[in-house]
Amino acid sequence: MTARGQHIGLPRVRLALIAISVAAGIALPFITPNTFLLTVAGLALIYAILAASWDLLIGFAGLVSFGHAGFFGLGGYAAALITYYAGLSPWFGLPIGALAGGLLGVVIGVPTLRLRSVYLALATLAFSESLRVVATNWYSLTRGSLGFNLHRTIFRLSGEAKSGYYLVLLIAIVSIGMIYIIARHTRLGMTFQAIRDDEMRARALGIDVIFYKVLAFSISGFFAGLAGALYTHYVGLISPAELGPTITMLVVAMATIGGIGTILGPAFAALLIYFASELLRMIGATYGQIAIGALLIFFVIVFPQGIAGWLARLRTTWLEIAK
Amino acid sequence: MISEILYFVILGLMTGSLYSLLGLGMNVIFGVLRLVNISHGDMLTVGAYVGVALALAGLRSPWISMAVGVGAVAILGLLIARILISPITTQGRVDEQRGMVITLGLSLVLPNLILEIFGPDYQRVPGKFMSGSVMIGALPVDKQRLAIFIGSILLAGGLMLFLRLTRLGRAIRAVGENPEAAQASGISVRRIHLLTFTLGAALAGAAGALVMPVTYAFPAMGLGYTLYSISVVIIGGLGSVRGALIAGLMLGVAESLSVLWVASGYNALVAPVLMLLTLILRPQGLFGQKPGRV
Repeated sequence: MTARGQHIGLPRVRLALIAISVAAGIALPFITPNTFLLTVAGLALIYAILAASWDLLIGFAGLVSFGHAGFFGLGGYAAALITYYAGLSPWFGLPIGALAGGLLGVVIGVPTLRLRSVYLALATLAFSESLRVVATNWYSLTRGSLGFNLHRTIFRLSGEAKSGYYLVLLIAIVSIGMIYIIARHTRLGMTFQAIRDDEMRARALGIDVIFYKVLAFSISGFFAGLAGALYTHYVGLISPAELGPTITMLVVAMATIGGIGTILGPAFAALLIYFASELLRMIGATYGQIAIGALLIFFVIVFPQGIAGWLARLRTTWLEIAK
Repeated sequence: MISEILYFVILGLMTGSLYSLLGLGMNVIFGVLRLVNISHGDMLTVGAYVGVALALAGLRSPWISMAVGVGAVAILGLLIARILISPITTQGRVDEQRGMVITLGLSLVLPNLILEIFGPDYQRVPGKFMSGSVMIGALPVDKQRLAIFIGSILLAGGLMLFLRLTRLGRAIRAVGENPEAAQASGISVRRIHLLTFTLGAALAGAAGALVMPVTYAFPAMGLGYTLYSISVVIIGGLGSVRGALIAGLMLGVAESLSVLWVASGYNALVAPVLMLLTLILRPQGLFGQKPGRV
């Protein structure tokens, strides 16, 4: 899966697609005032941030994280626990969660970044599992496996599903936009890609490889932590399950199906997949995950570049026919 | 205190032998295909649920149900290797990341399929191989747990001899060390891959059949076992059968002894923390030769 960051379509087409999606996002509460659908849409947006942040690591810096739930859950717990025990306004939860995720990126990154890809993935998995065990057992702090729900939330204060949804939408658009710009339109993103493509050469060119790898981890962790904090406020509950491997699996699946190395592919795939799996859940509780797993296997074997890669290939074929 | 420690050591060895068995299967696959099988624990689940299904169908003999369980998981392993892993293998090497992601997909599919078929309830196979306990010195040890221990050690020893002494075993090791050279000397790397994956899966299935009489089965049980097998492989060292055996027993004992000093739930920290320490301090593991670093 060494998908290069290829363009999904003409920039104009892509801009139109983004504009339509944003407009649809804004219009959704007017189309359906159904609270359940709005909640699902908000959660889908949170997963979109998470998938985009994972893609920044694997698709641009070439670093595999199998412990993304660790950033997500830690951000969520930090947002809830610190605001609760310090008696802070819930608004502080979002930056606190994001910073906690960013910090965890440094803590994980520094000792493990010399490891080869698969070993790194397993190290991140071990980190997130350790966090999950602590969150489950430190009952006096986290209330254990029942989850923590004592913190004041932003949304219960405003009291309405609609305003909660809009805040999530705003943060998701800004976050995914920032990840996209960092990855594809900054020197930093270029440096990440240089390291991914040829670490030895990057080092020879004078790039401080370790520094940039840690930086990639902490930027990715920052946005994953923000997603976790947002989740905690949106749902009003954070439990050890949010640190669990299932979250990581879903994120890996969404991003891989969407197309690694494109940021927008994983984000859109996360939206679609989360919605679809919630709809499938109405038919049967297990169908959603079975479908996601099967789709993931199908894509990895047949279209390893994901939907985005497939669209790009489709476009080249069309252009050739047009000639 | 001494007898207490001894007791926990013996208990730990019993649990640890199961980790060894799981780690061995994982390590054979990891060592030869260079593939981290995230669904390894789910193979154990399938093995356990075959036992459940046979018991529900009225089969009483634990030996037959064990054999059927191992056989079923072996066939599942062969199908996975043939249908899912072969397409991502080029020139005798499995794509590491794609392989890991495919087995991760399996690990979403399999437990949910089992959940769909058997429901979320904890299942237990009625009847044991053996009941009662034996005395080791002054300590009573559950016979069933002793059976797991002996079964695991026998399987591990058998695997070690198989890999060392038989032509086929040597071919497997050759492919693990250098697929190109193995291919050049007339070994079919493709077949060895199929065989190795089947073997590794069957070992996990055997673990499932062994563990069933002392524990409950539930659809999501596999993931935890996957994490244990990964820890065993990392701690023991890539490709080392002896390493997996020792690391599994060590992990079991460490986990069991930790109960003496920390609150019981925290013993789940032992495996991930030992694994992390190994990765950071000695990435090649205790007995591995190949460094995990770049």
